Amino acid sequence: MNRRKSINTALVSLVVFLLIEGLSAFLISRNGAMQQYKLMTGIRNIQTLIWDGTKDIRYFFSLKQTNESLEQENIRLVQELEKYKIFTSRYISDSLIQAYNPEFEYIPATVVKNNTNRRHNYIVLDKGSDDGIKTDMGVITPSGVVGYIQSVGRKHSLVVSLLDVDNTITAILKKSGTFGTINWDGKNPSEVTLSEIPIHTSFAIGDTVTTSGFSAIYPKGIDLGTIKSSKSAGGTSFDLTISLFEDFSTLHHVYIVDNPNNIEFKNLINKGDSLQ
Amino acid sequence: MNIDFRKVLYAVALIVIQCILDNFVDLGIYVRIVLIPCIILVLPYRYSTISSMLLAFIIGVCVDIFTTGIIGLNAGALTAVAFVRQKLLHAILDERNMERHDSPDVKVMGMGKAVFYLFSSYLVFFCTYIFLDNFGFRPFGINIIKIVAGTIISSAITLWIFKNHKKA
Repeated sequence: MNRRKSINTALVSLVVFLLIEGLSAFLISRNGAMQQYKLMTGIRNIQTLIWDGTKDIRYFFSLKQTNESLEQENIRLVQELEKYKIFTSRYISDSLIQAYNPEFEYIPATVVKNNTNRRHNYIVLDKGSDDGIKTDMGVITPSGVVGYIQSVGRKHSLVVSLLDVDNTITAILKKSGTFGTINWDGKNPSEVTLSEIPIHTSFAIGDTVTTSGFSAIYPKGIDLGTIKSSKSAGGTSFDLTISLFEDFSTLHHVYIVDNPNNIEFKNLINKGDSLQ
Repeated sequence: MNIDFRKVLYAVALIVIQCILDNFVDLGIYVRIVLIPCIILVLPYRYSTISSMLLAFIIGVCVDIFTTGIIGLNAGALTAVAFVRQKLLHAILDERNMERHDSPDVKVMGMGKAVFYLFSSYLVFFCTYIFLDNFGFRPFGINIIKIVAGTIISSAITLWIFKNHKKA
């Protein structure tokens, strides 16, 4: 009788265990970090309050590094400005240049929360819908692509990091213009893989990889990193290991990229897809 | 009643420490320090597997909400620990020992059995955690390193807590 009772108890325990594990798997598949942000805005607001409070402390200890990075960026911008000054002084009378409207607008933002040690890393920024942030905007720094806006709260927004195994972007080899897909494999936060590079493409270790501008999320020509190594993928293409310029572990100041033509671009892509 | 209140405080403190560790301590992609299984491992013997599992699930959900944001990850892994807890205890301790004492204790178990108890439980935790995170074990090499590193480091820290928990 006792034996029968213990078998029954064990069976019930096993059923409850399987049910809870099933429920956990279901919740994980349904409530990824991104969906979670949408569903639990209240909880996230409390979290962001805490993160906001602690970010000042973290920034204090990394001020030196931030200053150096800003200094470098400033020098680069001044040099760029000089080039444009020379350019515009030559063609100032050209009506086409005077009517020139830059395709992208940039909104500076600060990182409130950042992960690099998970397979699905995300970043929280201190800008939200109150600042004109919308979903699918790109996030960049002078050193590369950071990710794209997945969901937006009033004062904060959630970025799917480039260091998310499900995030892919199109990139090109700067020298040859050959394009491929960049994807993180979940291993080293300073390296990504550029795949689908045709076997006949010529490249060298150290060559620079930049954004392609195919997606309308990221501007064309942002330097992402350099080729570290290569390996053949099935004999038909190369998989290149790219050493990123961006150090995600020290990410503080970013730019959110607003492309006013993004919706038009998306509509065209959707039309193209429906034709197929 | 006083003891129960202290145990609740102890559990809450471990959950808060876990949230701080996950949110603000970055040890790279291979190492994650986990302390919450300790709450389940030191539960009194009278807690049945089912009640332990339900408690583990609730604690796991709390940690998930404030850390990974993926609900079910820690919850599922902690539930697995609760599922094997009684089986492990029955395997390493005799019935008389369990009747005489209220809850697992290093002094009563002996260091060898305590290490086995903690190491096995953490192995179960990390295997389930990695499995749920990847819906499998691929990439195999990295996941093995994560499981082994996490199990060894977390077990060692928990052993220290486990040794001192009776004193608290």
